[in-house]
Amino acid sequence: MTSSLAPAARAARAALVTALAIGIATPAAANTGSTFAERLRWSGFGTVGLAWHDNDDLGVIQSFTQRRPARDGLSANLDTVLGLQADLRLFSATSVTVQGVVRAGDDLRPRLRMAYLRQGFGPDLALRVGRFRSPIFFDSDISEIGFANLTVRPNLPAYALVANNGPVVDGADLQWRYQLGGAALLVQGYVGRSDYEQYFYNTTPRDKAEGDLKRIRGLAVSVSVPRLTVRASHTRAGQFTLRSSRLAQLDAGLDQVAGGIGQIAMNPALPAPMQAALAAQAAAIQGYRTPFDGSVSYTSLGFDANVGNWRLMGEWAIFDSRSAMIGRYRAWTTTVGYAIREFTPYVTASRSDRRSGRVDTGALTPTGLSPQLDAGIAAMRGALDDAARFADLSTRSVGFGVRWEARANMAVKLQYERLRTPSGNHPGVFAVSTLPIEPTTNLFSVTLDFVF
Amino acid sequence: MSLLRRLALTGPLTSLLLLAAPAMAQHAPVVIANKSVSIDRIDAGQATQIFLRQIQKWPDGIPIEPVDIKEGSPLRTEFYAKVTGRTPGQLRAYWARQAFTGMGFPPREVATAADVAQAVRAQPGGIGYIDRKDADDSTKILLDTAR
Repeated sequence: MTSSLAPAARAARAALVTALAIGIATPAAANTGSTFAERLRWSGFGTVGLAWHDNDDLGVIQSFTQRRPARDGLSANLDTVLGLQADLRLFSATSVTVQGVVRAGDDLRPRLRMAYLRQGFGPDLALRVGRFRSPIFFDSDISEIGFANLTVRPNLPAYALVANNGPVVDGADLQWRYQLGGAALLVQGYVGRSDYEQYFYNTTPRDKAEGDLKRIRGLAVSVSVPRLTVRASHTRAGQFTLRSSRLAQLDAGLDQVAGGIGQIAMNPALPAPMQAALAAQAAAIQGYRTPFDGSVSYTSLGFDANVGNWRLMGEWAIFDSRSAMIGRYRAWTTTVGYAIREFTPYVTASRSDRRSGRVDTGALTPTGLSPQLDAGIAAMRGALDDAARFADLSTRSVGFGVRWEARANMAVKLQYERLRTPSGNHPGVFAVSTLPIEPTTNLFSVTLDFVF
Repeated sequence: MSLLRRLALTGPLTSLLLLAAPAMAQHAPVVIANKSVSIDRIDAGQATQIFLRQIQKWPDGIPIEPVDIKEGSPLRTEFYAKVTGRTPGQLRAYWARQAFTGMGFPPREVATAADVAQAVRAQPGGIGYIDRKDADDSTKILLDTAR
C-alpha cells in the first residue's frame, strides 16, 4: 500500500477513528457489561523464514510489491513477517479490528492490513466497513499468515498473479451464512478499491509504480461440509491503472511520436491515401499509451479437504487483465499432505500459463519520411517490446516439504521447490533485471511460524 | 521366520503403541447442550460445523454458544479427533485463518469439563463436550461419540 492515503483508505481510517471514539466514550456497562480490558483482544502472527536458491539471474518474490527480493544464496526477505491485531468489542454485535504487519522484504515498513468496523445483524449476517484482507483467491487472505498455511506460502506461480498479492481492499463486505441441508454456506460480497506499490525490477534505477484497482466488486461463495470446503469466487476491478515516472516518460514519447506523424499527415503535398494511413498510424500509436491499464478480473474455484489423516487442497484460477501488455492467465495449484502425529509431509505443484499473445507493436513502423521521427519510433517500439518481454509471468513449480507442529502455537516447515519458466526469455513471477535468464530455480525454505 | 521370533521383533513396537494408546482411550466424550436447545440429537458432521463455527444458530434461531476446554486437555484432543477428524495442529491453523482474516474466533475456552457443564447450563444455546461419566440431568446429551 502506498504511504500516502488514498480516499478510500482515508474513509476507512475515519470510520475506524469514529468507531474507536464511540467505543472509548461508551461506558462498558452500557453495552456489554464487561470492562474495556475484557472487550479488547490482542493477538498476532509471525514467520521467521530463511530461503536459499541457486539462480543468480533473478530474485524470488512473493509479489511484485516486494521491495527486496530474495537474491541467490540465503535471504530472510521472502517469508519473514510479523503481524499484530487488536479487536475491540464495542457492543455485543459491533466490533473494531485493526491489524498491522511488517515484512523483511519491505524493509520492515509498517503496513495496515485490516482496519474495519464490523456490525453483526444476528448470527447469520455481518457487515464490515473499512480495510480488510482481500478474498480474491482461495488463500489470498492468508498469503502472509504462515501458521494458517500447510505449506510455507501459497504457491508462487498462481498467487503472484494477483496484482498486489491481494493483501487488502478498502471498502465494505457483507457476509451471509446459511444452512443448506448438511452444508454450511458462506456468501461474501465485497466492493471497494485497492492501491499499492509495484516494482519494475528490469529498470535501473528500479522503477516504482503506483497501482490502483478501482471499482472492485466481488462475490465469494463457500460451501462447507464437515471434511470439505469448496469455494468459488469472482472479482472484477472496473479500472486498473499503473503509474510511474518511467511509464509517464513512455507516454510522453508516444505522444511525441504520434504528434510528429500526425503533423506529417497534414502535409498537403502528400497523397490522400498516405495522409490517411499516417493519421491512422498516429491514432494507433496513441493507443499504446498507459499500456498496463485495463479492467482486471479474477476467477477462482478451490477446495480444502480433510479425509482421515489426508489433507487435499486444490485451486483453479483465471486472471484476465484486459490489457494486451499484461495479458490473460490460467493457473492451478494443488497440495496433498498426510498427518503423522505432529508431522505433515506434503507434496505441492502449481502452474500459470499466459493465454494471450504479446502486445502487437506493429503500428510503430518507420515512416521513411523523417529520419529523426523514425528514430523516435524505433526507440518507442524498443521500449514497448522490452516491457512486453518482461510481462510474461508463466511459471510452474513442483515441491515437497514437511510441517512440524513444534508447539501449541508454533510450526516449523522445511520445503523444497523447483520453479521453472517456459524458457530463458520468460521472466516468470521473479524479480528479473535482464533477459535471458536461467529458467530453473531450486528454492529451499525453512520457516518458524507462530501465533500468539 | 518363526512366530516366536516375529513376536520378539514386533514386541517393542507393540509396547510403544500400547503406551501411547491409553491417553486416547480414557475418555468417552459426549456433546451436551443447554436444556432449552430445540433439538435432541446431532451427528458428528453437525458437531463439526458447530465447533468450527460454520453454523451459528439453532433451528429456532437461538445463537449457538459453543464452549471448549482449554487446549492441551486430552478430552479436547480426543473430541476433535473423533468428531472433526482434525489434529490439534490442523485446528490451530484453521483458527489462525479465521482470526487473522476477520472471519471469526474460536469458541470460548474454560479450564475444566466441570466449567464446560456449568457454562452450558447457564447459557441458552450453550453447547460443549464432557466425559460421559460426568454427564447428568442438568444438560442434555446431543451426541455420544462412543456410539
